[in-house]
Amino acid sequence: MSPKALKSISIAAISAAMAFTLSGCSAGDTTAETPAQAAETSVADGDMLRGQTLALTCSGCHAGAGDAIPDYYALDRATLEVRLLTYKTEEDGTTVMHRLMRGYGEADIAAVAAYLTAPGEG
Amino acid sequence: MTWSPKRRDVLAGLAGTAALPLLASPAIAKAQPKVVIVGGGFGGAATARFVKTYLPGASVTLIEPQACYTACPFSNLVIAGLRSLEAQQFGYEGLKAIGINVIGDRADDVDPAARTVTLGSGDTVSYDKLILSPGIDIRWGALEGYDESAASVMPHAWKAGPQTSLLRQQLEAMSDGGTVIMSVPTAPYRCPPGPYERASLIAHYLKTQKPASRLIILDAKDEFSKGPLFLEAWAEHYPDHLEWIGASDFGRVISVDPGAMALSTDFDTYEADVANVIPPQKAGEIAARVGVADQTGWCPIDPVDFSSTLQPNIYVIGDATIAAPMPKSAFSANLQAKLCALQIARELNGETPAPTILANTCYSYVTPDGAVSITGVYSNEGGQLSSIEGSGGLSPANPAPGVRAAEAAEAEAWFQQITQQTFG
Repeated sequence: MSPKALKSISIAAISAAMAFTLSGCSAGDTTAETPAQAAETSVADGDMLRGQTLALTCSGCHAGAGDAIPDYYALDRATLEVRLLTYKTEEDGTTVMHRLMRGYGEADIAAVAAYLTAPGEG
Repeated sequence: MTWSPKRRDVLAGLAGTAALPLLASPAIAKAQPKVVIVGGGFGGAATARFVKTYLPGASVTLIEPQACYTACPFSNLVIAGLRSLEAQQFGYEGLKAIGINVIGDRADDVDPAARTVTLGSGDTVSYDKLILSPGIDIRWGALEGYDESAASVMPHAWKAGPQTSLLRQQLEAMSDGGTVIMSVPTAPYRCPPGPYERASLIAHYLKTQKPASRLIILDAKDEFSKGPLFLEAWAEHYPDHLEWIGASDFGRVISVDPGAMALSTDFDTYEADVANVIPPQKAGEIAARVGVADQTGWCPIDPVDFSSTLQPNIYVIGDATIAAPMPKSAFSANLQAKLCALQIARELNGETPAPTILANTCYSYVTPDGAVSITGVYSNEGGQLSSIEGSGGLSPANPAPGVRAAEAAEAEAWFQQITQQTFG
């Protein structure tokens, strides 16, 4: 496994991203910064494979589609993960993403976020 | 940002990252498997592109008789005069550009034992893996009176192309005060909410261009996809131009007479000025000839990799499959294509494909600038696809201002993305 894929996130990063997500910004905003990383969590090969498989669904709509559907490539891992978790847990959410993310467990959401934001452009 | 095969969602692993680490192994590079795909729609074209990307050393051949594909999603806008047919058409240059061999011929037959496909020209193409994405064909005669010649009078327009244009021309030629009748079959059929999107947009056309006219939907069902949302929209926008008659009210059409422009139910006979007969369907013709379709006319598959349960080394994806509750949609076909390509790549690499989670999203226009959506999330564990409880569902009823317009904008963005990803 490439060390580059061992992208780290921290509790601080999640907190920052959560505040960002819940502050009412539009889904198209992509400017959240990940703070310095503290408690590192790495991603196992198996999770990356799982993330790769799960992420096939995402690319049916995302990337290159214009303003109405955001491009996840522009997000960092913590921001993406928290945004997806927020969709999953917001009980009164009615968007397509709310309805979709309720079908995914937290480990799968983490795997997708890790996979989609891993370095590795060809 | 522009999708390209260089993006990490297809190239990760091959590009030296950890995402699919073993695929870059020399064994695969030398193996040069022969992968053949039949059918160049949302399923087949995407399969070709993703197999070529996951396995650059593979020989990838797409067999498709049409020089360009005419997409069904958004074709209801063409019927309503809101979009050109050209905007629905996609060529295969994007596939050829990444080294896919595109054969402009039809696949006549397959010999699963010899692993060869026979073309219309009589030539054969051999394969290690064959993916069939044949879409649907009409079950001519399953609805009494509806044969191929009837379709030139009462178009189905359920395969986009000349049929789409024919229905559009008939609506344009109809005098104001006319009656349009649409017949809808029982499931399974391609695009479950498609008839009702079409009805919405035809009703819009009548309301704005031929206000003394109306549309009657004769339905073989009592409930239908996105039903509550369509019924809400119809009551709001088209109360004088659209009437839906379900099975319980004798809406099921049992025979048609193209000479008399008549459609008969158990209870009544309706005369139409324009008749859009959406007939019973089956997997594309080649599926039965190859032996991958069962007695239902559709193709049973292993949902983990979409391999046929009836023939070895053959995979079936898209509308032709038995994949319920996953619907027969372009989104589903495109996702099944990508999953099939990835699992084939992993299998050729000696790995065992594992179950995953799949999803579908379909948008339907209810007005020219408003859409509704349905989503589903599915597990493919245990040999079958099943909906994951508590997930998926419809757009909200009685929405806040802007919700329908926002989903219409999403629909347009989705169409742009999925066609770009599929055709390049």
